[in-house]
Amino acid sequence: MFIHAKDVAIPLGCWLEKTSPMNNSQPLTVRIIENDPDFRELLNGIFERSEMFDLVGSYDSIEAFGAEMLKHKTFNSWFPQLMVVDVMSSSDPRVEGASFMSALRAEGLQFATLLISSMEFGALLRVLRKSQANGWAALQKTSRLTEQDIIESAKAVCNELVPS
Amino acid sequence: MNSLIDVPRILRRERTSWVRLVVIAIFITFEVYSIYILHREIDEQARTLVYLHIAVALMVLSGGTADAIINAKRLLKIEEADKQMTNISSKYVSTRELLFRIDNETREEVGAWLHGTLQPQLVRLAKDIRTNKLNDCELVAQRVDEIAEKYVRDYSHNLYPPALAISIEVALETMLEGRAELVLDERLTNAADLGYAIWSSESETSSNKRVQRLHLAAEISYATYRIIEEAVANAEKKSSTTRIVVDVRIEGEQVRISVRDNGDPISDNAKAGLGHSVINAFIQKFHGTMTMNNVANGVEVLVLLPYKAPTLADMLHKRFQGGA
Repeated sequence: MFIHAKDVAIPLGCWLEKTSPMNNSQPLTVRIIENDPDFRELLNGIFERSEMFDLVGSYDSIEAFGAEMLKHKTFNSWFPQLMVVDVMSSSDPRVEGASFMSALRAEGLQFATLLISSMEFGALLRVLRKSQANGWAALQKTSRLTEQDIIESAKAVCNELVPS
Repeated sequence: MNSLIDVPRILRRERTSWVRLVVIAIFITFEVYSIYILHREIDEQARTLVYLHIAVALMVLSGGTADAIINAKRLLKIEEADKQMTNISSKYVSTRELLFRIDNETREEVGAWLHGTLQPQLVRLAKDIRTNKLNDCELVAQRVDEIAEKYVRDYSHNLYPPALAISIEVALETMLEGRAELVLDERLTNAADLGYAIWSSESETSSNKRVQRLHLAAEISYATYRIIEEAVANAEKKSSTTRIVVDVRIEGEQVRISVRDNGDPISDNAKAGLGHSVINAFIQKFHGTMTMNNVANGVEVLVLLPYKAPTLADMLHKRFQGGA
């Protein structure tokens, strides 16, 4: 996957302008990567209904997301403020979402990430925060997970990246 | 040259070669004696004929000897191949026995869990629903959640930890949380550069440029995880242990796994008797080594496994073809 610097860099000011819900009435852009069609539909519905978020893309795999990303090399307008990612959402079981998101952020992209999976997240979040301290949140897939939980977590993780 | 070195070995092995050599020796002695006599008594023309006769005889004999040597060498090679085959067969048999044993143990364990843990939970749930003890859907959902999260998920994660699919660091952090300290080679951590060709001028000029991540093959990664799991569990069995340090690093072409505890030292008898069947199985599989030694203030289990850095071709294959 080859992405050039000039396409990747997002001016922080621009990002802040887009992300700060307190200062701007514009909804936060969201892209979803989830390979379970039922859960993806559920997430799509939740973010479509929310006035606080604007769902701009939904993908069934990391590969599909990567392919779409490469079509839009000018990331400033394409890349969202929030990625909602199922950790294991690749057709190749050895490719996973957390490391991919971490690699994108390590290359200068600024976005918050809400990870979703059935696995325990404690160690994963600790490890991810060693590289990028903020902008990570995780939700465990259980039957008790509610729309409110998802929206609240999404809001909280976006606010983590906005300086007070 | 090799043939000359092999001659004594061959002669010891094959009697026909001995017989041929004795015949050759007698013949040569006879010929040398004939030359000596003839040289004195016959004219020039007759000498030439005799020399020709000798040359032809020697050629025939040497041909025969060479043939005998070749045959004998072939026999030796077959014998050596047989020996190697026997060795391989015995190794295969012991590996197969080990695999059967592990397979049986796994089946027993999974069977016992399904029969003894999961099935009773489901039977109890079904009974409670039928007898109207659970007439509230929310209560039924809670019980199903409890079975899924408390029993099924924990058990399946123990069988193969999903965190390993993310990285060895996440898997080890998950396993060792509250049990041991983890010291991991920086190149194996998630903070290391994944090696995706995503780059920016910002990252290139960054003062804290990341080290390139080293990739462990999936089966070595799993072996590392299971070896540490076993070694830490063994260290925890000693009541005197209060601190365990796990250190994993790549040194040259080896994965070096050290598990140190501060518990009581072990006696030589205990060293020999310790099971370590899981560790041994992985060591046999990957031709690694394991040592267990008393060190300053504790005991160290040291395992070395071979490490081969994937080539660019391997990585491309893995990325695009889904190869191992």
